[in-house]
Amino acid sequence: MRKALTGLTLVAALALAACGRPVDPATIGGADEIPPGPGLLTGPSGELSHTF
Amino acid sequence: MKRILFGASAAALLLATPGLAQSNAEVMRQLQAMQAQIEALKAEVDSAKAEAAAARTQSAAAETKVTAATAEGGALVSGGKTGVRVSLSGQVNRGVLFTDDGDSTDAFFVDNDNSSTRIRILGEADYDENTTIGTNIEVQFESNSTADVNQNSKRNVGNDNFTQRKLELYVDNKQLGRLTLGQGDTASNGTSEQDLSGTTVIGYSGVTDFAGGLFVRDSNTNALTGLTINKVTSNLDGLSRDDRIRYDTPKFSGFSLATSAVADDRYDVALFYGDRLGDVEVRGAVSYASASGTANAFDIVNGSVSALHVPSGVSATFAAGTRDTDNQDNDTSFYYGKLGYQTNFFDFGKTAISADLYYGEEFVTADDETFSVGLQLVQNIKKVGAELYGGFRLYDYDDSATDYETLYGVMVGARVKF
Repeated sequence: MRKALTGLTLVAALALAACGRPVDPATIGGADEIPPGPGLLTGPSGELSHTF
Repeated sequence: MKRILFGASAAALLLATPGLAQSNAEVMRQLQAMQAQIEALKAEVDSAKAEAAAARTQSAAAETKVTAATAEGGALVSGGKTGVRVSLSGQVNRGVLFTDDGDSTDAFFVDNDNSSTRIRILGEADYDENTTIGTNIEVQFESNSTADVNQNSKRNVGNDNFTQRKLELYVDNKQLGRLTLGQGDTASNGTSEQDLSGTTVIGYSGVTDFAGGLFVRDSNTNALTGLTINKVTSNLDGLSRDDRIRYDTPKFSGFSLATSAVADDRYDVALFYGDRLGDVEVRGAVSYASASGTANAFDIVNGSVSALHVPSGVSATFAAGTRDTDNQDNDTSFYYGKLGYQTNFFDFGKTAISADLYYGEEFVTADDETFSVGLQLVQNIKKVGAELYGGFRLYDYDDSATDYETLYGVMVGARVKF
């Protein structure tokens, strides 16, 4: 029974891994930091930016 | 000749008739006064015309500026300098926290202290092609923070105003590194928190932040103790944020060094690493911090490392630290591990899941232990800069004198970046 559960878990994990597409590490923010990337009001830079 | 004779006759007549001469002199004075008034009025008219022309010129210039700013989608404001970049960003992070302390269950509407609600204004200008001058203002505003709410205070908890996070200025040079002055991260802050799982918004080595304000309950008396999760857990993350001067070297092969000095004889030094090794993204940090200028002086050694296998999305994170406090027998320490998986199941944003374990000891007494386990799920919706999350955490605190109830928490919420 234990072997079966382990096997099923591994198969499920592999199936899960096969479903998605890899993430870009640059999109991963640090702990307790504003995340990188676009926001509700902003474009790809992630910030409302203006150059004077 | 006739004219000369006529003029001489007129003069003679005037001289011969003093009354008439006096009347003519009066007329001349009036004429001169009128002439003076006319000239004054003319000067006023000329001045008014000049002012009107200047006003028309200014109006045309302002109209041109507004039109240009509107055309390029910019704000209708102007700066004192040219080439200055100003950026505004921030986030709102709110959730619902359900807790069970072994005797009572509660629901709190909270600001998630794993990453508090805040705004940030960044200003930068290039001095030359290698040197940038910058300012950073970042403040948070937490209502009912998970760090503060507890069984006795469930509403309107916390400061009703902004509190400081970063108020700093810096000079950044590509060859020489960055020098920062003001309130902000000390060199050691964040060195326990390197984490590539993508789930830090709901769980990371700072397990305190999930429900730090809650009191632990005594199993025997069933009463709430004076011990909160804040007191019995910590990730010993160096000297946190403070008013300091800090220096960061440039990166060399992924490595960089930082050091900072704070008042009260506090200083620290930290080594950071971040790079891609084949298919594996790695981030790590280790630091030493000392605070010797006040009572209960202490030293902290801590660090963390996180690795993400990019093709599979599997990540592993480990953190640990120890604090040696003068005049105390106990050396506080903690260990933290996390396994994560993240991938793009959906086009609208990546999905990240993780599970973590935390063990800490000697936070209050020389023989106490704190154990915590957590589960995290985060779904990103990148089009609107949002993350939907759910998390579970268990806290179990023990010492030799008392039995305490295990505390459970579940939190669901959203962080929206603007």
